[in-house]
Amino acid sequence: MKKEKSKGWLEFRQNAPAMMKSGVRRAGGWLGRSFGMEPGKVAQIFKNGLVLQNPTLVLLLGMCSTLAVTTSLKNAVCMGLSTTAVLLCSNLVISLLRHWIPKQIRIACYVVVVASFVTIVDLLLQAYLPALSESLGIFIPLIVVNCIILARAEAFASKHTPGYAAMDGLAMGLGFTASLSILGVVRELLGSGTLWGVSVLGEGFQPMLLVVAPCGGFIVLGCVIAAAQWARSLAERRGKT
Amino acid sequence: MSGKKPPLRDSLRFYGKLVLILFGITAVSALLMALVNGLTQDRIASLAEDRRQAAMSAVMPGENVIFSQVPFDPGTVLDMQVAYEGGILRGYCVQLTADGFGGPITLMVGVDGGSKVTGVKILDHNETAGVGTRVDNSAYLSAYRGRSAGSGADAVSGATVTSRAVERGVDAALEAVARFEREGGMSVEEGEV
Repeated sequence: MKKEKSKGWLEFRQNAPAMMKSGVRRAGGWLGRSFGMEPGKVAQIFKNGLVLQNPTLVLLLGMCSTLAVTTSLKNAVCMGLSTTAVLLCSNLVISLLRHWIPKQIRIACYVVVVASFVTIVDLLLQAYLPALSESLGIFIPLIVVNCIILARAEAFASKHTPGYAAMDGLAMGLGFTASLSILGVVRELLGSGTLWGVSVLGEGFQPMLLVVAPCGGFIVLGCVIAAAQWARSLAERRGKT
Repeated sequence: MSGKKPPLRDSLRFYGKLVLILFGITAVSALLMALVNGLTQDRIASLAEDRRQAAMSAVMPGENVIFSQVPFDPGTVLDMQVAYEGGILRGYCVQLTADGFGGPITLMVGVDGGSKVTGVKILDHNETAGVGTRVDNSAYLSAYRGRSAGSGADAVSGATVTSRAVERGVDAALEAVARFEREGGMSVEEGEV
């Protein structure tokens, strides 16, 4: 005897295609709203992250890691790229969750998200790029407390759609990497006479050890920030005339 | 502040929601991290083992040297392995830490059968760049070869604390080997302390 299918199942089968179509349409709408971006706004985000609000030279965030890893160009670039990866992922996730995170516990939630991504990046580096992991040492785990990530989560990712948040993470990360590279070039060249490990200034060069030490790093950082501010004021003056 | 206090039920629901959301985020993060950890831990462990083997081969010269672990006192030494080459006891490799200027310095010391040092390698340190780091130099460390316990060693000028730490580490390694041999040496079965 054939089993009679229940009435509920028949109703479901009837409505299923329409339900699926509307579900897909709604998902598509959500994707479009979350990730749709105007090129003008994206350009502005990148201008901000790279130059106008460069996290190291203008916002003065993440100074501890900056001073510690810019003793060599290779460390500076790799640290910058690792931070960019974490910044991108954490901005994206925090923006996706922004409507569900209550404001009373938002910092705790941001820290959990950032720490998870940093742990994942740390484990992947240890497994697949061990030499890099050793030379960056403790500064990979310290990405968690790099103020740039928490600051962008609070100031931008929690208030914008995932598309823009991801772009901001990328832009700020690249700005961070760029400023780290400038510092890395100066400190490695003056402090060891090499560039990316390759001896450039020759045997007769007496390296300035001060530049490799943290105090010298501070001084170099101050000079680079001063140069950046001077360039900004020049651009502003030229913009006005 | 004026106004009645909200009923307990609303407070519970409010805080309950906070707890639930934070728990949810933490739980998902923990799951993700466990996943990545599971994927990478074998590779990380084998890389660490390779590094250790390379350090041991660097301090114990010889072709086709085979290492095997021997009992040691974990309070003083991180690891001790005996080195055999073609069935002959070549010596021991001791991995230990010594307190340097900026924290513990991890050393790998090779000791031969006659309690003389065959080689010293620095695996990890936190010394001042350009000052204490000058100790991590093969020319300086090779001066330890042939040294026996208690004989003095030159320090790197300007890096006394770091140099003395290395010297203390080497002496501690020699002492660990001497103690092992006093307690019966290679006749001790694995597992006995």
